Amino acid sequence: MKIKIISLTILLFGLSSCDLDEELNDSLTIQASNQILGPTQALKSAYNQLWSFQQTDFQFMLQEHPSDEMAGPTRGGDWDDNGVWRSLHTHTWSPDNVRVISAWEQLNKGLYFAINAQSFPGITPSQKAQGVFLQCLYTFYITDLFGQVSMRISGESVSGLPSIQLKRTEAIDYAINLLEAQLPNLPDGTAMTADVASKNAGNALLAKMYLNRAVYKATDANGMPQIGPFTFSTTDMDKVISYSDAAMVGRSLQTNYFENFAPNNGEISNELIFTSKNTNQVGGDMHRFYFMTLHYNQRPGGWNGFVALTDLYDKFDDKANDKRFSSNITGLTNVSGLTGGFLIGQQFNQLGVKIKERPGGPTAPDLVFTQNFTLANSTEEKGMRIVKYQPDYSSLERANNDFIFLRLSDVMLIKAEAQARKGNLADALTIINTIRTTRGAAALPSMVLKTVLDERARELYWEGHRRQDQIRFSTFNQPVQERSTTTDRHVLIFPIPLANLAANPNLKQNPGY
Amino acid sequence: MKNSLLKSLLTFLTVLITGFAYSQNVSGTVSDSSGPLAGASVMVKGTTNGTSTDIDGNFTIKNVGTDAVLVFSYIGLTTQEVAVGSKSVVNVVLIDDKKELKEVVVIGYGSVKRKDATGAVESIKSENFNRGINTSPEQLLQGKSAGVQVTAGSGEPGVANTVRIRGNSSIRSGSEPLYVIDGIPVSSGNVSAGTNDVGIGSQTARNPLNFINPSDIESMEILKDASATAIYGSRGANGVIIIVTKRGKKGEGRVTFNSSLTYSKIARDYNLLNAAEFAKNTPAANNFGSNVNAFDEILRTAITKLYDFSFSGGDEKGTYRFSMSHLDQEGIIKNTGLEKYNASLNMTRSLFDGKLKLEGSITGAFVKDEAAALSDNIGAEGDLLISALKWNPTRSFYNPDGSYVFVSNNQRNPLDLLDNYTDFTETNRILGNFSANYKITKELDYKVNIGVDFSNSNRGTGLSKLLGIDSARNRNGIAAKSNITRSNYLIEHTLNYNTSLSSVLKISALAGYSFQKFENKGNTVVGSGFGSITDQNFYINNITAATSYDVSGNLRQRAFNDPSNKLQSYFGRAILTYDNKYIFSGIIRADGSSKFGANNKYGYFPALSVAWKVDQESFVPKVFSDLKLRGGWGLTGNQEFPAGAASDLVGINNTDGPNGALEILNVGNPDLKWEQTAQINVGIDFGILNNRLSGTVDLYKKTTTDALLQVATADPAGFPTKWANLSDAKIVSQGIEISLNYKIIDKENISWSFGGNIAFNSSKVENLKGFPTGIQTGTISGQGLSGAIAQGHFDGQDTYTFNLLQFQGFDNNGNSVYEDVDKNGVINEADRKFSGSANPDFNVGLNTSFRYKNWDFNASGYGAYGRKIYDNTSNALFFKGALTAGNNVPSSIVGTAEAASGNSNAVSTRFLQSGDFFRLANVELGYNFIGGSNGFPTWIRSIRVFVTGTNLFVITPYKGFDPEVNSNKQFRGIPSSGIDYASYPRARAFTFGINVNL
Repeated sequence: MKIKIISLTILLFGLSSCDLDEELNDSLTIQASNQILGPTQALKSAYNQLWSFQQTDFQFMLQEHPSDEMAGPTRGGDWDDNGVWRSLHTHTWSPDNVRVISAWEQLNKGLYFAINAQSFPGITPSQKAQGVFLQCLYTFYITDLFGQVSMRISGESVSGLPSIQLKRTEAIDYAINLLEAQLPNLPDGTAMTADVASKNAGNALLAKMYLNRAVYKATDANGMPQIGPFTFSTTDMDKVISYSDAAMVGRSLQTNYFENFAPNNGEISNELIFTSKNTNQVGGDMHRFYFMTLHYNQRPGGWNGFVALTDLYDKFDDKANDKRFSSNITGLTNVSGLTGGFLIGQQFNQLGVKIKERPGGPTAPDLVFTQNFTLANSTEEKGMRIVKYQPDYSSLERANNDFIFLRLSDVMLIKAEAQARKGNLADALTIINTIRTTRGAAALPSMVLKTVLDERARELYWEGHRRQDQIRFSTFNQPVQERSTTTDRHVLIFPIPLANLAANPNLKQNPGY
Repeated sequence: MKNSLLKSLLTFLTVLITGFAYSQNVSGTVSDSSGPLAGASVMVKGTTNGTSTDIDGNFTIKNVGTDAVLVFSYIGLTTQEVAVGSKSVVNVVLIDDKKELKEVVVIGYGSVKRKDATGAVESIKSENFNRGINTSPEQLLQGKSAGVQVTAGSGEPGVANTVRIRGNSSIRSGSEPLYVIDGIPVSSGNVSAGTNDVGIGSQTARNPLNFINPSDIESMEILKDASATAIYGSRGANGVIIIVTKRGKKGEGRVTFNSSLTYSKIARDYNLLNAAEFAKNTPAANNFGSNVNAFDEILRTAITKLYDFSFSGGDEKGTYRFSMSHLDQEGIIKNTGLEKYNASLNMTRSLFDGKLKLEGSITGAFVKDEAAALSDNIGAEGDLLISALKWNPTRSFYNPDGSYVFVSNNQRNPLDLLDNYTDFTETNRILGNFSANYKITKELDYKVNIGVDFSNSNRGTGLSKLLGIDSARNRNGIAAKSNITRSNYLIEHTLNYNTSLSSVLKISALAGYSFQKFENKGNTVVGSGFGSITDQNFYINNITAATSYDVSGNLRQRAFNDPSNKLQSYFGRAILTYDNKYIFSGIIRADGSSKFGANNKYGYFPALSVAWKVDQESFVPKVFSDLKLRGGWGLTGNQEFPAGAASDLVGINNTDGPNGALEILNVGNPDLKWEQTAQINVGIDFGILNNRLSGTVDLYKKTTTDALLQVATADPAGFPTKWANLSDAKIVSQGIEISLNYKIIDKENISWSFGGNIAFNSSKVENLKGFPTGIQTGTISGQGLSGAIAQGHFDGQDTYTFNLLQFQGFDNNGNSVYEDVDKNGVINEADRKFSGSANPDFNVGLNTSFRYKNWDFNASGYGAYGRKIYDNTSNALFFKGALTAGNNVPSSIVGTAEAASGNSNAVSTRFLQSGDFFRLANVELGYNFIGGSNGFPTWIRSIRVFVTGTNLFVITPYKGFDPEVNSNKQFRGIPSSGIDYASYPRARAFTFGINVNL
């Protein structure tokens, strides 16, 4: 009897034992993916991640809201958004700020893909150099915003801790060295192919990294940043100048400033050096650039959000002639009544009829954008608005405008700044006046170093550079409209998100958080 | 002559009968509440003279004296005695012996007598289920069992319920119990096809269990503590609900037919301003001169029709039962509803002198859910409900030409949304199983059980190009078609061994093996641009007529085939009974899963329990008809994480077509495993005065470790999170459950009983390291509320604790004032404070049933106390600035001191409310017509007519539609609890119905 039971049990269990191997179906292991996917797909991931810069929820906003050119006022029942915009503007963010968290995640995702692509079998030297360029671009932004960079060697498993941990002072040199080594392998390119990392792009990024190097080098051993002023070495500035010159080859200033931001900018602008490509089918959320600021009753009806500060408004010294301040644009003004640049005062539609506040109709108040606003309690008409990237009326929600990382006038101003920092104010002034006269503004008779910062505001406002520029000129912590206090230097670097800090013991929270 | 002959014959017979008065024949019929009873025993008391009833319930017994007493008995029914007297025909109806019927509880891979159960198990029989329209099994249990909290997501037909047995013991992974239907563990995951966000946000999950026809259910067994659930190992931590379906019974065939008609209307409403009140309190520009009530426009009196038919029967060799039903349920919001067809068949057959028993069953369901443009997470744009709630009551819905007024993408026209939006989901699900049980010896049984659970769901969503929302207008119409297929295969072998080792020691042992595999795949096609065609149904039916297919963004095309999930298990159980007083039970289960990391392939789940039947001891007073002490300990697991989570996985992002980008799908964790719950339980079951008063008290403590969570990866890793087990944190749930039943009157013609249960539970997070600001959840939606988080799990706090700014009122300018907790002059995230939890302190359930002759009456109610609800609807919609901007608000907003505009509606305790409630869930009154009486023919066993009122009232301070609400406001995969966002209002319903038994 017992034998019968035992033998039956053995039979039962012996027969029916099945394997527990994973059947992955639609997913691939990393080993399998290296067989199936090629370096083109791997590199594409790193390029596609550039779309995250167009998301008004990610790193772009960390460069703008804390600066002197943008704010996100809470408008009654709108734009409270858990106070994130207010905290960015008032420099009171915490490690839990969702914009800080998502910026960290998006940049690191890009860094991963850029590194990962480099070890794919069959990768060409040009593709590898592009991977390195993107690795350096992401590293540069992480260094700039967060002050610490973790990195993996290409092909390293993601289950463990990253094998490379760089402080801010190390990370900038690491990126510069990497990119300089690969510069010769980057492909040649034109303004029309600015979405591929070319030699121009590599040179421009190197110029920018050398320009900011002194800021990062001045970080204390414990990670505490310095307000400055910083010591910009002549060696570095010479590098900036030579790389700038190389970056500018084959590019020329666009006569019509706003064509740089038109839906077809990728096809018509000769200023572009490095961009992220968008089409009406595929791309990032470029439409957010106009939705985020336009009023509901404008065309397109926006989200009535972010405003320009008077600090930016006051930078324009020749408002009457400076096309960058305000321009009628064919395809925009005749379609919607909107103009390029600042939108202030009464707003009109394309027929010249006054636009009303909500709900519209004859008895509703006129829509008059004001210079003043309050950060905590603004009504819907408060604050000046800006149109830079123009609405793509053929596809409002999937716009064709390419997002610009680097363009000619940026590099020209980088060069001008290096000249000015070397004391060559005359050479700098020539560059600045070349830009100004092309933009319709009167040439300046003379300049000081800070003129570069102001000109950068006039030329590059709302393009995602301002925080970095202000830090380099030590003005970041100073009061601006709707922030009356001078803030502590620890806010020059954002905190590491808590979850990521817990995930990697090699990261140390930045001082002050 | 003839007459006199007849008379003399009669006289002779009369004398004859009188003369044999002490030895007459008695015949009659024995039946139970549902009809004649075959095989019932009929004995003359005190003699061996007896017989049993034939297949029609008839008997004839000879030589019965007029002073004799007949004893009628049948297993499971109360024995009845009848004095014969001069009667020659005795018909008796044996009534169910409730106590006897309760005897057996199913405990997983077997059953035990209730009196012998060592764990905290409860069996709820069909007659105690909730009444009224119930589309899925867990609704039948709401309020019926202590410690089982069933919360409907909203009032929408077919909505998923949240079921928590003994609180929440998980943070991330599913806290739903395991459902086992006739021996087949089924996935309680969503089986309905999702769809891309086409511009109205994402939708509530459909209820995956509504494929079961509630009237097919015989009983539901709830295994609460680990000593009971350990037999289900890595899936037992949240408790187990075993659903036992009805089987045919021996005897003449039976036919039942049920039909009902239900009328439903909204039960509670926001007291919104009417046009005149609105015009008085808003700027003149907002007055458009009309007088409409948008909210009323989207509602209706909904009608639900139910037809349910079954026939069943059996003989010595086997049984059969077939049932079919059709439910057509309208929702109280127009264009919403659920239509369902069920068919099920089961058969049993015994062969080889009863040595082999075969059993087969198949259940099929076809469910069609019709949905309106309703969403859980819509932002400023608003879904149908929000659009209607805030619609300016002075604004007409129509332009002079009869077309729908277009206001803006943020004020959508509710009638436009009703007309120009279509959304339906058709889900087919088949559950089949077969088992063969072979009696190898008297003591040893072998059983094989094979099960298949297959579902396929198709969803079609169409937005006409006419629809006044940006995504539809800008794209010239959109349609989406999604398909999802899920399957689950099971094979199980078990050996059962029962024997007496001595006169006082009995053993019952089980050994088993099971293998189960789950698969899940599907795809979505989204097309847009339908030319001049405006009918969105045409788009869905002809999706290839689209001119554009997005390859990126929300509306891109998708296909998936998830990694398979395989579970292989070995399990055993031994129950030792000593002297019918002491019972020891031991369980061990080993679960191996393809999901677990390479370093943790198998988990082992033991349990031990003991029971002492005190009532068997001589020192116990006779007043105790039942008294048992129980104690148990066990380890169980929870493995609700996706297959593939342990491995590094890569996929191809289809943006850019075939040359798509590489995408990291998952960052692996070779140590990944189940989360583990240790539970101790002590309980007492008692019955006093022949069980007139009976009850159960249980005390428990559950400690969950290795909690599953998606934690951040060490960047750069290509993906922000990975699955991991939290090494230090514990989630500790403890509580006490009391249930009591009292038979106030228990007579043949009249009975009245009362039952109640109360369960106190506290679930806390302890020792949470690495999360200085907690594990966040509770995404708040609405204009200006992006990125707002209201809830979380914090060290030392209850699970689902709200963490909010403390609203203190309005300042002189009408702006909100919040407590400056850190006294730094700035109100920001650092000023948030713990503000209570969504978990109730205690739940109650009450029910009563009353019977008088042919009348029956049932009522049941339930409630929850000590919980908070975050009213996201009010947060997003109802404040002074909204009124000034031209949106409708409740009348209570008018009189507040809030500034007319400019004050922020930041997330704070301003919108946190008490969620206490008690609901009179259902009340039913029925009358039985018995066949053979009241002029009904005898072939009718009974006809019962009834009326049911559902949700007759709810007592609550909560100001939203209903306090029983759980919108899906998850954040990064962490589920939320107790947040109300534009949830579907609940109905009050009246049902009129008939049950026919033939």
